[in-house]
Amino acid sequence: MGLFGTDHKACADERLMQMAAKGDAAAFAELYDRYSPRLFGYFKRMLGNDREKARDFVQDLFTRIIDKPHLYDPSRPFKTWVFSVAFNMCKNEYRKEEVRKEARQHLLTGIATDGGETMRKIDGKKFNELLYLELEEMDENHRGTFLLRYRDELSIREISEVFGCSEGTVKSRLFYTLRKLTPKLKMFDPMLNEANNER
Amino acid sequence: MNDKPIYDPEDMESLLLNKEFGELYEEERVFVLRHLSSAEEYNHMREVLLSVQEAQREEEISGPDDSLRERLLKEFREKRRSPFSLNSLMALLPSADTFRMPAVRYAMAAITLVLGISIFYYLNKPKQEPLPIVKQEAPKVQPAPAPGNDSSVSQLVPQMVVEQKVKSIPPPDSIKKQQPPLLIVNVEPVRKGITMEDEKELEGLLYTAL
Repeated sequence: MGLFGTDHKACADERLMQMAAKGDAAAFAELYDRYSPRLFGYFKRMLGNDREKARDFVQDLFTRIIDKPHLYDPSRPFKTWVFSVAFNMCKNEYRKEEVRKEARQHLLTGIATDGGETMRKIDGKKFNELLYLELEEMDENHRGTFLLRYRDELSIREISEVFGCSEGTVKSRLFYTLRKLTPKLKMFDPMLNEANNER
Repeated sequence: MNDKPIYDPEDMESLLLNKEFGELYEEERVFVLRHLSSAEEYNHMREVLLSVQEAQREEEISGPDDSLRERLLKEFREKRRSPFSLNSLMALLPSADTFRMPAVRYAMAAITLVLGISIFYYLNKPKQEPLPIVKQEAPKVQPAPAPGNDSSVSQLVPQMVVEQKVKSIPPPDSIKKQQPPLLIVNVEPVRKGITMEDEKELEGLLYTAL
């Protein structure tokens, strides 16, 4: 702490969380600014691209931090803790089967309306849509692992902490998911080839 | 010592991200082909993986709307600011895990508060002078009055005598018809100096008189 107060932007997540637990609103705001976009994206992808639901989930998660800050274990990195809370929230949501069905229907409708030209005019956005559609077909552990790794860019170790499993399990899940995705996404070869040529 | 790399299937990611099949060492190719069907499959996987990474980077990162931030901050201020005094006390407590449990922390805060108030009152309590020791003499037990001996009765209970004198004043005519009691003794005030036996004797005296 400096003479004129704490520089929250320079603080580690764990320190900010401890300060927020003691009632420091600025620390809470900094945590929100750091994590709300990532969590929003994570929820959106895990919940069938539903923005409203993702927003509600972000609100719910930060309300939990306000109401029960003691639930945070200071011995754990805040990032892995907050993503594990987010993942558990999604898992509870999956128990309602409608979520997955609706998401799949929504994505299928979006792609089908494009007709036969779709595959040739594929762009990054469409690629992502189909990727998430295929991910929806997998169980939440494989989907969550894949998104944390390639969307949120968590390390293998961090993901293993989020899921409470070994690093080997995380790598194995990634391998399995990628191998399963590959034949489904092969239809985008022109885009993939183009991307490779640019590299 | 064996310098050959030992791969597990889960180590495929680093190979996929960094090398095309043609760039792999011989032992790496053997490893890859042990888990994948062909070089083509490897290259497809690599393309998909790189495209996923690229597409994710290009994806717009947008958070929820600003109104949510404002709402959460307002909620935070309302909920976290109210127990200000307790928070201040809790900040003094050790940060061990046990003390992080709200019930324990509130209990500790309550105990601290009670202790503080007790110490305050103890320190500010006015000093009391020691009370003088008073010798307490045993009360003298007067002998019970003999029946019919007025002087002994007056000695024992002066109030009784006064009351007797008052009762001896002739009543007004309206009351004269009623038969006045021969002797009225108020027993209550004299109990201090009279034993139970004396009291019984007095009662016997009263009945005799009546």
